[in-house]
Amino acid sequence: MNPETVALFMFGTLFVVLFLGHPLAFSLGATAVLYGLIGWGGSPDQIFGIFANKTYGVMEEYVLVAVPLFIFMAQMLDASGVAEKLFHTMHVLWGPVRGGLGIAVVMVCTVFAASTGVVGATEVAIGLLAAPNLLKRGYDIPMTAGCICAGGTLGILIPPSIMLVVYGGLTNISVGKLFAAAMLPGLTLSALYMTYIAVRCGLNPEMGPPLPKEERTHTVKQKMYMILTSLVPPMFLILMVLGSIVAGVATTTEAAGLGALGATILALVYGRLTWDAIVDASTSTLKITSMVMVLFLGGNAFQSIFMGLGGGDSVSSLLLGLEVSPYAVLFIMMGIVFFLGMFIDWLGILLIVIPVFTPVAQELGFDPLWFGTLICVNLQMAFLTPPFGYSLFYLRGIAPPEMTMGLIYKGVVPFICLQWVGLIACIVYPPLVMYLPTALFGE
Amino acid sequence: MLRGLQNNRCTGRETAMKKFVRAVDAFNEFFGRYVALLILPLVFVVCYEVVARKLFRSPTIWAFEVTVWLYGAHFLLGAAYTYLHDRHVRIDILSQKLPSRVQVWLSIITFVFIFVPFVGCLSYAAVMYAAHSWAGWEHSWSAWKPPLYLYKTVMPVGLILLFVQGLAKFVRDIYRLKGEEI
Amino acid sequence: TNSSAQEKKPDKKIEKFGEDQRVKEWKGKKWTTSDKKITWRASDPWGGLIFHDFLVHFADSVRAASGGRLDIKVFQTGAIVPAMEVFDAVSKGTLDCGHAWSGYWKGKNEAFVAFASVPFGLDVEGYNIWYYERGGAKMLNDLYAPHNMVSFFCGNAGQELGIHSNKKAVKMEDFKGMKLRTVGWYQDILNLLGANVTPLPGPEIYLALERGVIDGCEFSSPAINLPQGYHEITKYVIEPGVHQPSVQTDVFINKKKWEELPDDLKAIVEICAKETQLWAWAWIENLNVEAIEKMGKKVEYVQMDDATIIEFAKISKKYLDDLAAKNPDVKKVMDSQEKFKKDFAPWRKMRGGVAPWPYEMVIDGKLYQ
Ligand code: NA
Ligand code: NA
Repeated sequence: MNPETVALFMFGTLFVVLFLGHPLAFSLGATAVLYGLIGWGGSPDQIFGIFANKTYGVMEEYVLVAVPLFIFMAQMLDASGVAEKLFHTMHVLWGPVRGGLGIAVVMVCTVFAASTGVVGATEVAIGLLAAPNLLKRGYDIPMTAGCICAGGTLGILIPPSIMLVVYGGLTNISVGKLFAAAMLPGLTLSALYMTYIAVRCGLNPEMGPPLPKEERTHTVKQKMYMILTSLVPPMFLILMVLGSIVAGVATTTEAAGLGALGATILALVYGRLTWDAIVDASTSTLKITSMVMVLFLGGNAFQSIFMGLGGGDSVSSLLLGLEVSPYAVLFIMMGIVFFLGMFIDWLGILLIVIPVFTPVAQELGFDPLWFGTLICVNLQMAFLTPPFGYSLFYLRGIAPPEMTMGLIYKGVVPFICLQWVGLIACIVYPPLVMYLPTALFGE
Repeated sequence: MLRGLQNNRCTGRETAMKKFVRAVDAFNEFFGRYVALLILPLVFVVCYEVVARKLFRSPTIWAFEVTVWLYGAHFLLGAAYTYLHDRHVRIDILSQKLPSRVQVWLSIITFVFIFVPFVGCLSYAAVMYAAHSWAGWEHSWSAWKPPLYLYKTVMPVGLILLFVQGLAKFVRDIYRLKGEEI
Repeated sequence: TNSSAQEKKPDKKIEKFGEDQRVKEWKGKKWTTSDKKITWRASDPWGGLIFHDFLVHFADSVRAASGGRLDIKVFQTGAIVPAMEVFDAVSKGTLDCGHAWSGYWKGKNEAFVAFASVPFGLDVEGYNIWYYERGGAKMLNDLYAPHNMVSFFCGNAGQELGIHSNKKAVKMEDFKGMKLRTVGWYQDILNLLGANVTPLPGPEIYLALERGVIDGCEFSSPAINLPQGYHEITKYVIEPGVHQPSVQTDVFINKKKWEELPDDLKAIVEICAKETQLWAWAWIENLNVEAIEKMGKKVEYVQMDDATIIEFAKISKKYLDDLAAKNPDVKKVMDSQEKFKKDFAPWRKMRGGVAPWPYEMVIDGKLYQ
């Protein structure tokens, strides 16, 4: 089989197999088994040997140890009830403004994004509080769904983030630098969301009315006190994690460990640290971690066979052979990532795309850190893009019945457009990505 | 009389299968909860190393590898537990729309053609891989030199547990076709 | 039947001194050009390091010399198997060929380290003489044989740079309690010296060094360290690189795949490995010149004092003796290398003083090698 055929057929098969509803990890792996047996040559033993080698490779990747740690941290933070306090504060603070509660949701999400590394727990916690609240105050259903989903997704982009950890692990780029690079793009998106909500609701108050006068009873002093008490715990975590990296106390993995400890301490301080809570957080952590890592095994198997049969080379020579400018190739790659994001989750895409795209980007002369950040900004859209998007599912899981999947889809569309605006901003104005890592780490 | 006997034998076999499914479920539920708790020593060891190095200026020679081992054992030994709870991400937007009986059929077919080839081959390869390490009494190349064959044994154990959990689900699906829930 | 030439007695009999073994082996051998086209898959643990170019160079040489009959396809690190799994993959036949620094296989057999770099051990010249003329080649193959592989030296990158450090350490006591990153035997030796060694993985080193998680690290030859940028975040480089007087790499091939090769391709592989060994040395050492000049603008090079180097050597020797006592394979190889060093010492000493320093330096009194 020639490499072009391999590439075509492997992706074709994968695409069919994916939709059969079997776990993605095993679908990727089975495709690898099939094409390994057809195309590799040599005994089956040797092909399966690759899978064992790859599995062990994942098992000894120190950088990835941050994944379970960040997940545990998020679970513990969820258990501590910090989110409720913070949302309550923002609610009081922004309530009087048109679209204020939506802005409050995004703000809470942004603060949480800077203290946790995942999407799930945060979005669910905030969604549970925010969705009924916003709807009760007369918010438009799509607007409510949109700001919760988009806000929740910030968790995977604003550092710390397991997506950036995984990207660093796959490409040997320093995770610390990736964290620094993704910070401003993440905050930019957050600002874009808030501006959009303010403008849209400002023009059309039916979408997000302000709180009625009679509910605005807090004095300035009370408000100040609320801000102080509700912001201290997340700031403590941000200090533990990002602070310890920047101050040189710890490697990224260790920072994740400190964060996990910090979140546990918070739960203790808030009197929520029971043995049951620990077991709950531990089992949820295991389920999410194992899901992520087992997907690694399948993705690795697919990737090895694909590359070994020459599929990677043929895709990159196809991309490099296009007689267009490097930026056109960049947009094609971004388009592919976005398209895949509709159907596959971020990790699956990273595993498939990284080994093919990073050499192309290098060949075209793009900075690897910048390119990696673009990929990650792009990939967080995958959380929102229908039909398959984690953020959508998380929200659907906790949403009141009147918030149908259709309305959720409708609600996220403007936010996906904003994410494209953010991505294009990073492309046309590279300092947005590169300023912080250069300022913090030199070069 | 004869018919009754046959029926009895039949249900006897059925019970064995059902017992198998329940035993596997129960074991992985039980085992998985302990595996989940590995996250606690993991957090502890990582933090301990930071404190030892930063406060006492004496990094350990073992923390690094213990960290990695705890992480690997955690996610791999927990793969079956995660499967039991149906938490391995899958794209069911299309299959969910099908009638439930067709869904069960699809689940059976994908088990045979997707799960068995991959998890089966991987488990087999993992057994060979660990056996090879045992045969060479392989140790880590670090200064601490822990025995790698112990850590590599986690691979076949975790994957075989996963495979058996898959079998249990398969059997459950077969019963589901007959309209029985286990 | 005697010819006239033999009848003519020379004034003095000149006996031939020395013999090229290969001439004897290949005498009368009929070479044919095989017509089989063979493709191998190869990979390495190098990631972005230019050691990867050693493998690429070797593969190119083989392709050129064989007129494309042996096509060694080089895959990026991790594309097929993870970096450190290359050994197992070639052993099993998943990959046909790999390239690495055999110190990585320390966990398989400690003796592998002796073929990679030994503290106070062989330099490039030493490795070449010992490997090609003193039975090193056979010993290396003996070590790989139980793992179902054959191997050839394939690129030596010369002496490594010392320690990139934020702490100026030139005396023994300076090293006590220093937080350092290194690998291999040197890790144990530094621990014995009272330093605190953390085995950080490659990608973590930079940040750890910059943020003071560690005080210093050794990595590789100057040309290889330069792109890592350690010199931009540390103040000193502590010389010399006593831990690795040279860094030797080798190519290893699945035994079955090797045996399947026709004779002409076998010869080509062997010759190309040797060619790569020569080329890599010249290439890297020339790059090192430029690299230390560039680094020198950012760091201060400091020299360990003689007493400290001697102390390092003492502890290294004791460590290696203990190791040899425990592992007969290590003993065999290290004894052989030590014997070579001893045998070579009189000549090394006698010929000293005429190293190719520039005339000005020699005239100014620089006479040492
Ligand atoms: Na985050
Ligand atoms: Na999506």
